Amino acid sequence: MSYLSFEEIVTGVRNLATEYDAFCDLVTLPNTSVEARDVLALALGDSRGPGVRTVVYVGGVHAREWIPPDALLYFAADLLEARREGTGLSWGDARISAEELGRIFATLQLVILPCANPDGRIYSQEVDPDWRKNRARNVRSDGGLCHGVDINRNFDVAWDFRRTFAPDAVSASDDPCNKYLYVGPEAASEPETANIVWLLDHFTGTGWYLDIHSAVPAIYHNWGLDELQSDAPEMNFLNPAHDGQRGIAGDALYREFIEPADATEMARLSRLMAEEIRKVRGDDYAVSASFSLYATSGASDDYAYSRHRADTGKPKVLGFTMECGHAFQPEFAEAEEVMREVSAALARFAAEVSSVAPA
Amino acid sequence: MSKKLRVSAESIPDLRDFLAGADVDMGCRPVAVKRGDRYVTEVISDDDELARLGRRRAGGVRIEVLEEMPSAARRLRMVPSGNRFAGGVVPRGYGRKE
Repeated sequence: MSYLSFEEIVTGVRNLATEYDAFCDLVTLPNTSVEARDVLALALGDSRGPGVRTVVYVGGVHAREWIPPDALLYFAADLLEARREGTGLSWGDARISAEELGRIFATLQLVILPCANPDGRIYSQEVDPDWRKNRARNVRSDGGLCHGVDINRNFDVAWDFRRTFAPDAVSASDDPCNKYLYVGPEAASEPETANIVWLLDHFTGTGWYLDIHSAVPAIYHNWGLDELQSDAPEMNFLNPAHDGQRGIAGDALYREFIEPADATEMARLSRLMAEEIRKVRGDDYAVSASFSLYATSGASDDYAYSRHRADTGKPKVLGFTMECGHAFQPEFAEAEEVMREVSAALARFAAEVSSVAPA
Repeated sequence: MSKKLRVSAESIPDLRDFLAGADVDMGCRPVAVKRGDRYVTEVISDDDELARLGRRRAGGVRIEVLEEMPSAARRLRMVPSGNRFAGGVVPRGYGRKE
């Protein structure tokens, strides 16, 4: 066994959609990648459609993180096979019962986008295994060319980091040639970013968003903008009075507002995933809010959770980032173990939220 | 060659001060985890930058080399040619169905 190529991921997604058509739909995202490749997802559930309560799982945003797309494809395969056969599923000592699996399919829709950044994946697997961004062509002021935007700094939440954050407080760059952190020419400029925005717009029943990355190992939840506080709602990412203050750890000048019940629920669900991962082979994933050493601007998990505050007509989406495993491209035997951990955690997450009554 | 480093300090501000301006790869999200009484982060650095960091080390910062990163050529060999799902082969996951 070895890592999947992008071609294999696409074929695998299509084959799952054909084989298990009673339990899933193929979702073709509206934007092709920068290099004109289709981006495909699966919607799993007994009932499927825009308004169904939905968990969105995304992988492959960062090209060099080879495990998450494979993990999500095999996670979808496990769920679909078990649903059709009427069994439960286990990875090591982590287990969901057939009853729990039935409840997941009966009460939720799981939208799984294994590889959000096809061009980056291909470039990383064929040319430069350290490649992280997409393959956008960035023309410099001197006429030269650099490639790539970091999709996970391109979302429309505190994207304009030079205005919104304190100097040197944020992990982001407006240098089009920065190898890792270029934020792009404007918020949501990239088709790969727009596809994830579309998922959240289209599947209006979405309540949870999980972006699968590697490698720390850890599970993070909102916010990545600053430390959290629940006493001053006006101290938030939308308030220009706090521009230039965000992103400093340990200060009292600015902390990002979070509703207390959301903070509690996100921490609870994160711990639940970490506990499930431990059952697979004993690995210890840290759990915390995303902010610690530096702030992050324009990240997808914060974007997901920001939407209902930026537009009160939008539903609330709790945002999570899993940083799975210990290396971007470990030997494949190790990658398989990490995939088991990811599957166990994501299945437990779905089983847990399927048991929560709709808000 | 690149190396994976564990950098730790007694406080997050100490760690930030040390890493400010360092030309290191901090991964997806630049996070520090508390391990015991220290704050720890992992970064990837080439040998030249590691030498610079070693010269700048101060204020109780510790740098530990965890491993040498595998070469690019070796990593690229982990991706196969061909398509294992061609001809309608359906992927199967790692979970036990029981």
